[in-house]
Amino acid sequence: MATPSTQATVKLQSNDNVVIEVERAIAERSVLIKNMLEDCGEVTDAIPISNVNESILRKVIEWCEHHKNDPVAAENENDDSRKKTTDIDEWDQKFMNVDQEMLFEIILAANFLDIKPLLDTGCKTVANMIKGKSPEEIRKLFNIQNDFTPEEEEQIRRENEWAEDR
Amino acid sequence: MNLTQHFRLHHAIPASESMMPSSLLGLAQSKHGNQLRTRKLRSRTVKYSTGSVTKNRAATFKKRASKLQVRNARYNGPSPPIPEHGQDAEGVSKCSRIRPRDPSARPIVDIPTNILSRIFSHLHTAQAYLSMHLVCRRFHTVASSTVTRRLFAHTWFSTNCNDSRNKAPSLVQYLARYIRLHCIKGNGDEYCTTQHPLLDESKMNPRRFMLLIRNEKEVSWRFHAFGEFTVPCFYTGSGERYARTMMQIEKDMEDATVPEGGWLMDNIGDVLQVPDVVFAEGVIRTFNEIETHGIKEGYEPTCRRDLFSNNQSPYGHPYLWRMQLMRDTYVCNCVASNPSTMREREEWIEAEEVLNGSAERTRKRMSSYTAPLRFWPPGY
Repeated sequence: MATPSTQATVKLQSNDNVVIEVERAIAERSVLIKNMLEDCGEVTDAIPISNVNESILRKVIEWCEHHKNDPVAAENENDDSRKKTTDIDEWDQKFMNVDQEMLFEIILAANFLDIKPLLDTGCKTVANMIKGKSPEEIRKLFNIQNDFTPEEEEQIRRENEWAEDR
Repeated sequence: MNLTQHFRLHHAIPASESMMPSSLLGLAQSKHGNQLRTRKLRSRTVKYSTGSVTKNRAATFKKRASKLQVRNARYNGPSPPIPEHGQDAEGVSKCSRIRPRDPSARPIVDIPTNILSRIFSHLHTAQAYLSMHLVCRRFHTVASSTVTRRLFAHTWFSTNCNDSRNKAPSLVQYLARYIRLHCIKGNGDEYCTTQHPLLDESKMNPRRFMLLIRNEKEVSWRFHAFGEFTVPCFYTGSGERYARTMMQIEKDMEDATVPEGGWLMDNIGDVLQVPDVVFAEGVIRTFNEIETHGIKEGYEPTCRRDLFSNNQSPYGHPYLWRMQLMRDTYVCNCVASNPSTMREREEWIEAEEVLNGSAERTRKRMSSYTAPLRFWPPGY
């Protein structure tokens, strides 16, 4: 295993074959890349990020750059949940102010690259979009077909009645 | 939701059994899951439920590395032949995008289940979470899965109970701890076996809190916890009693077998469920309302009596009314014969009143465990 300081930059290759060079510390916000670099030491070739295209990869790198000084989240899922709040910080809110398709691509990329804080921010953003909307509005928002029969819908409605605020 | 389902929901029976007809489930799965992806996701979602995430990082890494088409190099030799830029047609095609681009833009449809589950878990209220069930079959399947339910409850509690701007969540934190303290062993349906000071007649009159309980020996822990958390909410005006309740709870916590690392929202959060969230939200709401309207200057016991008197409507003040339903539904989880809606409950009460004669109308409004809550003014 190589020492972390041996390499200042890493090259990342998007699935549309664009190579982007980034600081190693920034790239290491991605647990996937971090583990890979730890496991194989020096990597001079570009690392193919095969699920992510250039524009999304640049976006993700932008996020990593801004958050490069954040404390690295503990590996244990339970540990970072303690720091959770309902809020998304202002910069992240602006960052996430993109069209729906891009938002979901960022989420998918964060999931693939294993960047938990970014994934959480993305998920919270979507949760905020959903907030306060009726099922019908959510269907419209995401362009989803209602595939329930009226009977099924009624049944589910009844099942959830107990939790209604009254 | 019928009561059996309700019970199941609370006790984490897998989604396929408790929430959804199997035909429906199958349909939803076949419609949305390419098998490979489903399997892959399942192995990931397990992480969220167990919390034992990183036991085998090497394995995880290996899986990912294979995705990146550099597996052979990574594990067989020191100098990995990483594919050259723009040349690796095979690599690109094999691990091409998770989904094809779709011009009609329905990106959420292609979001993998584990991420959808994560999104749902960040919803702010149980209401919002439950309305996800109604959107479409896939959402129903994902939202009602055991993993999502627990993840939602966990996230809700760890988010809300750490919110320092709001006083009420810390109350709920106590609530969660207290309930779970007793629920972890014997799931909360067992009768309390110890005599709680709050039930002790010799100590002032707090026993009146529990007037609705006819036989104190046959009270489940869950029920008990309700009484001790919601009732003090109404008494926030009399801080001493409230403080005493809290102290007692703290003491109970000390006496209990503390899990490794102490009682944290995380280890409690692991066992909490959606009904707990619904319940906790109700407590927070009520608590905040009372904080806002109840403890103003010039607040007098008479105000409180007005607040809780039953003379405005047959079922009293809206707070009280809500608390009643909340308790009814919450206690539903351990007592089989309970009304599931306010309307049903009113009908039951009326039926009982007819049966018992109108003379006892104001006094006796009890039907099994779900009798309307009565808050007796101090010194009654």
